[in-house]
Amino acid sequence: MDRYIPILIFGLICCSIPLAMLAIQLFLQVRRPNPAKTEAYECGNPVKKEALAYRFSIRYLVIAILFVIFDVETVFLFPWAVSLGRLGLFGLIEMVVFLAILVVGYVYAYREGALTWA
Amino acid sequence: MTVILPAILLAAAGLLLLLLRLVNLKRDGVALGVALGGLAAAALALALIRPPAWGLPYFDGTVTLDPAGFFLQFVVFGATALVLLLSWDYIREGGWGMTEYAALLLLATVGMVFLIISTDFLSLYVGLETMALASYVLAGYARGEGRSFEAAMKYFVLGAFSSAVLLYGISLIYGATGTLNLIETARLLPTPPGKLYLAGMVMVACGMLFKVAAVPFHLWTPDVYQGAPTPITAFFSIGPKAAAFAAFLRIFSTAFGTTAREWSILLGLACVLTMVAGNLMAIVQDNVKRMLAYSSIGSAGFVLLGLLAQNTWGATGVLYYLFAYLFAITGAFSVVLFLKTKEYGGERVDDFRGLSRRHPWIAFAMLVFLLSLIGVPGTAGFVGKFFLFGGAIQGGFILPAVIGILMSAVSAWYFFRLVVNMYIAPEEPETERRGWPVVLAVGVCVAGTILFGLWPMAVTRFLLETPLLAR
Repeated sequence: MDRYIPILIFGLICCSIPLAMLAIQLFLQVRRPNPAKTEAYECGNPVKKEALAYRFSIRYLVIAILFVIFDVETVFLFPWAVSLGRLGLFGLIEMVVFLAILVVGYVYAYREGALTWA
Repeated sequence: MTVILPAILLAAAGLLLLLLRLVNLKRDGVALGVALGGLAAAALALALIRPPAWGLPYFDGTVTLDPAGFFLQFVVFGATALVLLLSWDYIREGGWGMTEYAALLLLATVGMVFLIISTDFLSLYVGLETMALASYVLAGYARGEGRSFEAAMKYFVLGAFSSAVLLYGISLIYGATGTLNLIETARLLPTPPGKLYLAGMVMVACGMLFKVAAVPFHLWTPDVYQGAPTPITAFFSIGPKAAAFAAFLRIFSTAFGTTAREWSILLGLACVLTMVAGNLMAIVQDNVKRMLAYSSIGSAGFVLLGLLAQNTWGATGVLYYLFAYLFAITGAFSVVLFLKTKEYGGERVDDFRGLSRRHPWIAFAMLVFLLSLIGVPGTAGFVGKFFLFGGAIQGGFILPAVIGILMSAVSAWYFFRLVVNMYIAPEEPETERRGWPVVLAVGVCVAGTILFGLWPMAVTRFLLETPLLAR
């Protein structure tokens, strides 16, 4: 149990710093609201509707999924690259198979038009 | 390498399906051919594998091939193949496209294979998730149908939650033993079992009970089974369930075998509750899909009986019952699919009125499936229940076995509502019929149910002569 206490302390510090920052600005800030200030920020355009009434393109979701896939791939590639010397030919083939499977997913998404903005 | 060759072939076929678009071959017929070809290749590879001995560890002890795994892989391959046949008309009528559908089914089957052959918590969990993620998508495959979407959402949210519980349980077990290997776990379990292990065991039990849809973790089942496309409902009721039971058997019989006294109370309670609640709730259903869903909850209770028994007969019963259940439940759903009306045809109990006059052979087939689900002698279901109840009585679980037999009688009651509708009720609804793939599936299921009901020795000899699980 003793070995976990530093982790606990670390976690407490991690939580307390942002909480302290929020608390400080709560006391120090100058509050003079007016209608223009309290509006939602829309890049200078006047706000049209409630936020939930907007429809946004489902393509964002696909892009996000593709991003996660290749992000995870990169995470996996780094430790592999470091120990490639020990893994040898077997490791190389394993990674080629892994990448090939990912490429199939990418090709599929591409051919289905997930990456075109029409 | 050879042990996972069937899984590799299935994965390759699944990926090939995704690439069909590249060569402009994205047609339903091609997709069905590739998927069935992949399954046939995998089944052939599995049949030709001759390991030097059953139950040797492969890939650092993460997978093994033992008689139970060998047998259940055939069951899930059969389930996927039958479901592909059932889907042909249904998916084309909806215009949803077979290619992605078949790819998802094959990838789910890869997950099931790893769930069945894993002897390591980590690979077991990865297999489970591979299967589950594909299943969530398949539940919502009927795009544009609200209830299919609802089924997918419910399945996803509750499935993800239960996976988290299972994973946390696994981490606690790892904390107690320091290994993820199931066979090592059995050796390293502290005696007497500590609190850490007990907490982990209960959480693993909850996660697995959810996956096999046992009471009190069954609440998602009726809604998901009713909302999902009917072929997928047939798939859920046997494929993932058989695979999850294999893992269940492996975890509790092999890894936690030495602490049977601790978990048998927990699973015994779940088993009795599942048999009673599942079968009693099925009585009041007017939708056939929902009725079969509740009956499949009850069946999970029967299978738990064999797990509880902790002996050869019990384990044989689990495997044989799942095998018999493959034919019976897939057959029952294919009859539901055979009937087609404008709105959700074949799903209401009333749609079966006068079926014996319109389609006498289909009505007879449904009768055979229902008799097998009840467990009447002469059908495969009887042999499965014989071993399950026999194993439970041998193992000293007399009361759960008696309750199980009573609940089989209860299941006769609600299934005979369908039989009465088919054979006695005056003709009423106008139904159309679907094409030959569904009829072929019905034929295969009838043949299997009767053949393995009358000559069970063909299979039971294999199951009884060798130790089923790697230890």
